[in-house]
Amino acid sequence: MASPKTYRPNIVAFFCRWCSYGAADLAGSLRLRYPVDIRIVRVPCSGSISPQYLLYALLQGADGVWVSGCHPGDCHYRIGNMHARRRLTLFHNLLDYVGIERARLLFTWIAASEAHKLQREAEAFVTAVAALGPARRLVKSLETCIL
Amino acid sequence: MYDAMIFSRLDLPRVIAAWSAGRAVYVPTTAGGNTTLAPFDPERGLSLDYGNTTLSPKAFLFPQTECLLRFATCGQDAALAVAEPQGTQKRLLFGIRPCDAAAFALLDAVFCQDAHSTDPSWVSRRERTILVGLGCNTPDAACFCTAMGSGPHHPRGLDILAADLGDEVLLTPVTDRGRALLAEAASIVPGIPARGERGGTALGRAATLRINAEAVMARSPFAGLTLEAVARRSQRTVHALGIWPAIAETCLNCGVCTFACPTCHCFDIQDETKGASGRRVRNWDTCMSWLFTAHASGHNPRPTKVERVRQRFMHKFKYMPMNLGGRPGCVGCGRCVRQCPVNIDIREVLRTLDMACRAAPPSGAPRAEADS
Amino acid sequence: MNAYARRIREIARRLLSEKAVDAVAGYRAGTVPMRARPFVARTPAEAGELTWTGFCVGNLAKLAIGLPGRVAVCAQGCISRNLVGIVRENRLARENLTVIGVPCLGMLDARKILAKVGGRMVTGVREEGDAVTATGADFEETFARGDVKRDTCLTCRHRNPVLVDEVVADPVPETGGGDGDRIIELWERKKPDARFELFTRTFRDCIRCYACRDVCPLCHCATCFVDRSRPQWLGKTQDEPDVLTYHLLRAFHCAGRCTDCGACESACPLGIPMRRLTAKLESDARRLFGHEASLSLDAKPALAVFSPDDPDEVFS
Repeated sequence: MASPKTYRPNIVAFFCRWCSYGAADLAGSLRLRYPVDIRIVRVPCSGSISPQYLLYALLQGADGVWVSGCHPGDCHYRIGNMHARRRLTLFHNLLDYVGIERARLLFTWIAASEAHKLQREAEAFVTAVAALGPARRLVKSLETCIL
Repeated sequence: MYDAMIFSRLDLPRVIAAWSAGRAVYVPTTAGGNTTLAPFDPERGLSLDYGNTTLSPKAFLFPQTECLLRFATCGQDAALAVAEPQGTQKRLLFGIRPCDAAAFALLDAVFCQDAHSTDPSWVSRRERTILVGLGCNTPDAACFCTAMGSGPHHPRGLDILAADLGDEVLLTPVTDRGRALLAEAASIVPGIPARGERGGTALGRAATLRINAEAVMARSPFAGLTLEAVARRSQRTVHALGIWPAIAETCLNCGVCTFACPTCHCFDIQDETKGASGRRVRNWDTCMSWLFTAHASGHNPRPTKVERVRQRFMHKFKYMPMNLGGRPGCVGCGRCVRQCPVNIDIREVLRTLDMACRAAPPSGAPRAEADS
Repeated sequence: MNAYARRIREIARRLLSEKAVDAVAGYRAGTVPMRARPFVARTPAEAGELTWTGFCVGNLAKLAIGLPGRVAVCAQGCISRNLVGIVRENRLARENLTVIGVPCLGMLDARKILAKVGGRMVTGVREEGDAVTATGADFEETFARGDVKRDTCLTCRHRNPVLVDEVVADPVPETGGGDGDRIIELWERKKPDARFELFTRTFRDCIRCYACRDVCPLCHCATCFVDRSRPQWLGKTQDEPDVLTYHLLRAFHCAGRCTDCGACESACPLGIPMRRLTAKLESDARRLFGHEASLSLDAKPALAVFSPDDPDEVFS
């Protein structure tokens, strides 16, 4: 990894196509600047996100993982985000419990119109993750060698 | 026997300390309910009060995960493979049990079948690893080494066989390497050559311990197991016996038996990549797993646990004896008996198998053998 | 033979001879000390082999799933809840299931007994009321049951079966006395760095034999995530991230359904306390959603339902 000065975190974001992904689009249309360290993966619904995706991102070396969906009550599929809320709440608490830094995970509700919220959250998240430095826990490296 | 040495039990840590010069020495250590071979720590001393290690020591010679080679995935060097250094540490395993040493001797026959198929990392580790075994004075309820061609004080596979005589330890070299090692120890720690009257007493005491241990095993409800009937039946006959579904009924298809087993040696090779580099790793695999035989087409020749359980016992008691001149692929360490979550007892399986083979009609023409 | 075993045989014999069931899933004596083994009795004669000891530490619900026809299952509180779960998940039809309810005073931990006798070889264990006596070649030592019970049984909250067709004995006090949330306090009190250190140390010995997964009746995927190859979610190596990810996901897949039967810990050849993870998930399910797994046939698992008022504590 690069020196602290030039260090830029790698962040994977899973955005619901009906809201947060649209917000990111809108942020672009509005020429809102937000950090470039976020790689967005479009998903059909926050309820479609398995904790497996988040762990996979961490295994592959993501420094931060962000999940964003529609506000409760606004799900395109009626209840997907309600299930996501339960599931991801338990999962976030579990990761926190085993010592994965809380700040590496971000869960937000961002509607398609909330480009400014997206910008704010993105800036705050990137700053927080950058402050933690590169992820080490649960990151798969290929270095291990047995003598 | 002529060059055996007697050391005071109190001097044994010093003997091991002497061996520690120039190599890593591992000794049995019990912590948290598990016994492992851990690096020798003179501060902690040495306890000979253990049954056997929880897992077999095969990981020292055949690690569960092992990097075989590395490669680049892009650029001009793509696909350039670099051999990984294998087994560079010189080590000595103290206190492994004769059953586990017999397993190493068995695995030699698997990993070093001929000049073209020798497994370099096995050989490298085997050559750099000295085995000092400790005879078992108190075999436990799951042990059955005597039924598998080994014994509680059997020297096969070892460099030195140690016998715990209580106040003294008798070290008997088995190989030239063991002889040299013993000379190394004797030059630093005072030992007495086991000759004359003194030697005779020690050898006699060791023999008594061996006989007592064997007697304990002879009293086991599973004493007298034999592979003789299994050997007489064709592979196809044994395969087709009706006993397998009942044996497999409660099996969970977990990998405890295969991973704890000192002779199980199947592995899975995977290529892992990350960015511009990658590595090829070899991991233990288990025939209990559905994935073990899954084909890319989706077909699985061992679709249910019955076939998988049958495979495990066929491999140990039929295929390996067929390939290794009659030697069973089991050394009777008893780990699978002790650790199977549903207590499927390999001895009971063998007894059922033996009885079923005796009752089975005589094997057909040799053609049947070739077909199966 | 103890009263429980006698009663179980009686019930099994009757059910089998009346042809009320095709099979009875229970335990028979193990081949080595401190072991009982799962067993399926199909005839009244085989019912005579059934037994009940403190070492019946597997999960018979798992065994019952695979049995054809009508099946009776010996079940303590936890196992009966697993049976409720598998009936709810349509993996076993209620009309094909007869629960032989076994009120439970807690199962025994062979590792604890071995530790108590200093690793000496135990040749037999006797259970008389609250006393557990371990015998060996040259010793006999008696312990209070509470000192050699499995960890999970110390914090049990439902010792009597929640679903019963046949009763083996009168109900026992409902809890083991301990508090399930205390398990997670061990880690929760620590700082994140120390928690991660404890987490890695706890699972350091794992050999990925998957006994914890395979003994568990909650696992029902046709292909487990660890066995998937397209995509391959995690490596097959002993590297720490691969091992830890397996355990995190395995535990998570049980979230809201785990009855804390402890079969995972009992099956582990290395005695890894993996309930540290499932206990956290179940504790959170209780705290946040007021949910306890599989207490009745009408209750859905915590993660199969939601409430509009669910806490938003991790979302912003």
